[in-house]
Amino acid sequence: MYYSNAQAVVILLSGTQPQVDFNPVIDEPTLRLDQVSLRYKRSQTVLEDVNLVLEPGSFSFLTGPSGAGKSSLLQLIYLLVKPTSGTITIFGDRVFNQSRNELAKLRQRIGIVFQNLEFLDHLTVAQNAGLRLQAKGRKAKSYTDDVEEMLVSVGLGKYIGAFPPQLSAGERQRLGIACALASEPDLLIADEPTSNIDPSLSTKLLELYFDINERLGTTVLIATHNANIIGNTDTTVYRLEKGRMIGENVESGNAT
Amino acid sequence: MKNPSVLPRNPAHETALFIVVSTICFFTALAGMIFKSTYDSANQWSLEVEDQVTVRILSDNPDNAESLISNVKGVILARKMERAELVALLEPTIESKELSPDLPVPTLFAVSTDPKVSGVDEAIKNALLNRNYTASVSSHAKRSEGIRQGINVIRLTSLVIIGLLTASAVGIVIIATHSSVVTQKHVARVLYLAGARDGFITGVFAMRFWTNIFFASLFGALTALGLLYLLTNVIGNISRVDWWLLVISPNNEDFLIPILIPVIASLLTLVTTRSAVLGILKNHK
Repeated sequence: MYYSNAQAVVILLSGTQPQVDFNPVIDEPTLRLDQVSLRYKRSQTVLEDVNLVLEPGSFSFLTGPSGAGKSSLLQLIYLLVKPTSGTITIFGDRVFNQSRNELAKLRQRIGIVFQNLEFLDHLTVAQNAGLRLQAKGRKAKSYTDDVEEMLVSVGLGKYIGAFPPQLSAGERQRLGIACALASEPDLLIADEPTSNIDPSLSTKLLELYFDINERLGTTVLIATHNANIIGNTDTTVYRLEKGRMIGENVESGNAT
Repeated sequence: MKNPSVLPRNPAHETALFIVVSTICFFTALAGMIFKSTYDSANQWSLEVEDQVTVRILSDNPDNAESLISNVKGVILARKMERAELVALLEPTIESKELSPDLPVPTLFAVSTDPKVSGVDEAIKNALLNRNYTASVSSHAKRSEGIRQGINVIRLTSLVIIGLLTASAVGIVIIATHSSVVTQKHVARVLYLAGARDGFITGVFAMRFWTNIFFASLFGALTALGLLYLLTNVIGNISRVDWWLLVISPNNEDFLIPILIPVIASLLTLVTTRSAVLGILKNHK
């Protein structure tokens, strides 16, 4: 089931499924990539004829060895780079005909957790988590309570007043998720979220992503080179090798 | 609750920036005010000398000479100089107390001329010769030429110094602003990746650096103004250096310089900040 942003906020803050039956929003795919290729100047082709469709509320993995083009694909989805050819449609809008400001607005609907997380170390955990909302021009007093509740929901309740350098790798990942979720995104993408943390924490972190997907209906795409973390989950798994999408398995987590 | 400041404070860097910018703005403002004032004074001297002609009558009966000179085209005023004035002119070479009362002094006329009419001195000389007066007419050409050359030297020197100082000030403000933006470029990157619009990001940087540079340049310019005030009102009042006031006597226009400098420095900072931040953001697209 896919919920609108307003519905998702209510669910996130209450921590429960809605008692009232919201009318599910039936929509176009959250993301559609058609024959997308990417080639950087004076380098080999990074992505070639990639097709990808993420339905609203779906949970997917993107796997492949290091250097397969996963991070580049996520950068394309987050509108940081422009495809050399092919089309990207996000939330029903074909992108890159838009101005930089319109792209920034679209980007506000996408949450991203980078492999190398960057925070502003002079701001507290709560202030970092609220940065996306501040960037939208909102006043701190209008979102502070919401952000603090979100930090509690991702397990960072006791670190609200702490600073990013005081956090462990796993906690930084959680803060990355909180930052990404702050603007109530319709699509959440994560690049190697478990690469720097131990296996037990990886499982907990993955559970958090599933929880977000289930409770909020947020479409989630996780890029990872570690097929082990996918386990036997019922998710769609896309496999990328040498810039080409070579397989998709929706029945189990075993990437083909 | 106030929004947190997205740009971290860097007291060491900001203090250094304040000192550098205020110092260069101090020198620029001081030089600007001093040279503007000197330039105006020099122009004034030049005008005073160029429109004056001195007529010396050697004949015995110069009674009608004054009206004769006054009627020449281009003469505004002709005035016979009093004996006391002539004695004052002689004072530098002969002490006045040594002047004998019956000492014969020449008959001199101070003549003010219209600067738009040329050849007035020749016309006066001809008019006097036609009436059989033996006279010499001095247009102070040599002195005027000397002053003109002096003014040109002052003009050139002041332009070079002001130009160099202004170029240095502009360069320092641009470099200081640019380096301040670059040292904090991770903030621009984090904001960009958080979905902030370009306008928001440039606004964050511009607000911080605009205020920093404005106050630094204002401080420098006001310090220069204070120093000039001291020079003209304290040192200038010491009798032994009263020549100073002839050279440096700032008018109200000159005081616009310390107002203009912070405004120009701030505008420069805004443009540089915007350009530097957009340059950083461009690498993300």
